[in-house]
Amino acid sequence: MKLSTRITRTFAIATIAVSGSIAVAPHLAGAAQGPGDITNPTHCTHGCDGGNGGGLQGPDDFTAPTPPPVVDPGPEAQDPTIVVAQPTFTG
Amino acid sequence: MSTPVRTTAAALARALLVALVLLATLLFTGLGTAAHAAKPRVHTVELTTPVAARATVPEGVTVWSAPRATASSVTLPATTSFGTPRVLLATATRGTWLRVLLPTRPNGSTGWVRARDVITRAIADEVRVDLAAHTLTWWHAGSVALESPVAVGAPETPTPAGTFFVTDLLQNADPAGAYGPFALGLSAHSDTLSEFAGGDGQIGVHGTDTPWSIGQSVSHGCVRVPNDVVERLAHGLPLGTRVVIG
Repeated sequence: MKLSTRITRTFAIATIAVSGSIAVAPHLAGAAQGPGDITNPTHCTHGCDGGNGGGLQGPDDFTAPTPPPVVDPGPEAQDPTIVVAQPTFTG
Repeated sequence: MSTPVRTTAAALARALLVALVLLATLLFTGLGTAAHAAKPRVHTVELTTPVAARATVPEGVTVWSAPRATASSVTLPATTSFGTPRVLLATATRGTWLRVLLPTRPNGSTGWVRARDVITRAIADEVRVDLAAHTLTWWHAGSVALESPVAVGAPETPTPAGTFFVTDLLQNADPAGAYGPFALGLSAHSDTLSEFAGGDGQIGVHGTDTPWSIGQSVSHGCVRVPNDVVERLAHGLPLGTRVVIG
C-alpha cells in the first residue's frame, strides 16, 4: 500500500473516531448553553428544591421554609410579640 | 513495493495519528464525565428583602461561624433575656443555610443557622435613624409610615452606627418612667458602656420622661422618641425589623 493511501486512511479513521467521541458525549457538546451546566449556573433566589439528585443544587438544596412573598398587611397591622418587662437598655 | 525507509515513516505517521485519536477521545470523554460527576457549586445569595428568622427549636438556635457542620458554633437561647422569642435577621442564603445578623458583641457580628431550625418571614418594614439630623424614619413597603425627631447618644456615649434589628418589644411596667410606655430592644450594643442598669449595654429605642431632650445628643446611646411614637412603633414593627443607624 502506498504511503499516501495509508495516511489518507488513517486520517479518515481519526475523523470518524473524534466525531464519535463527541456524539457519545452530548453533555460536552451542549456545555456552553445548558441552563444547569456548571459553566452557566442558574441562581436560585427563593429556593431551588430539587431534592436528592434533582434540581440545580442537589443534596444541599434549600429545603427548609423559604422567605414567603412580601404580603403588605399595612404599616400598623402587624402582630408583634410584646413582653411586659423592665428595660435595661442604655437609656 | 515500498522501501524500508518509506515503511518506517508510514508506521510512525500512523502511530502518531492513532495516539492523537486516543488522546482526543480520552480528553473529550474524560471532561464530560468530570463535568457530570463534579458536585454543583452552592452560591451565597444575598436577600433583597429583610427576612426575620424565628427560632423553632426549644433548646435554642445554634449559630455556626461558617455554613458547614464542622465549623465552630454557639447556641443562642430560644428566648432573649426579657423572654422575647428569639428572632434573628437573615441577610443571605447558601444551600440549606441562612446567614444572620447576631445580637451579640461586637456590633455587626454574623453567623450561619440551619434553615430547618427557624421559620422565616419577609419584613416590609425598616427603621432608619439619622444621627446627625436627629430623626427616625419608619419605612413600610417603600413608603414613609412615620417620621419623628429623636434624641441620640451624647458625644461620650454615642449611639453606634450600623445595621441592626429589633430583638425585643417591651411594654414597661412603669409607663411614666425614664423609658416611657414601650421600649424596643435592638441587636446593637454600646461601644463605650459594657453595663448599664443591670443590662449589658444593649441599645434600645424607647420613650422618655424628658421630652425636652428630643432633638439633642444627650442619651447614653439609646434612641429616645416621643411616647406616642414609641407606642406606634411597638405595635407596628415586627421582631426582626431591620434598623439602620448612621
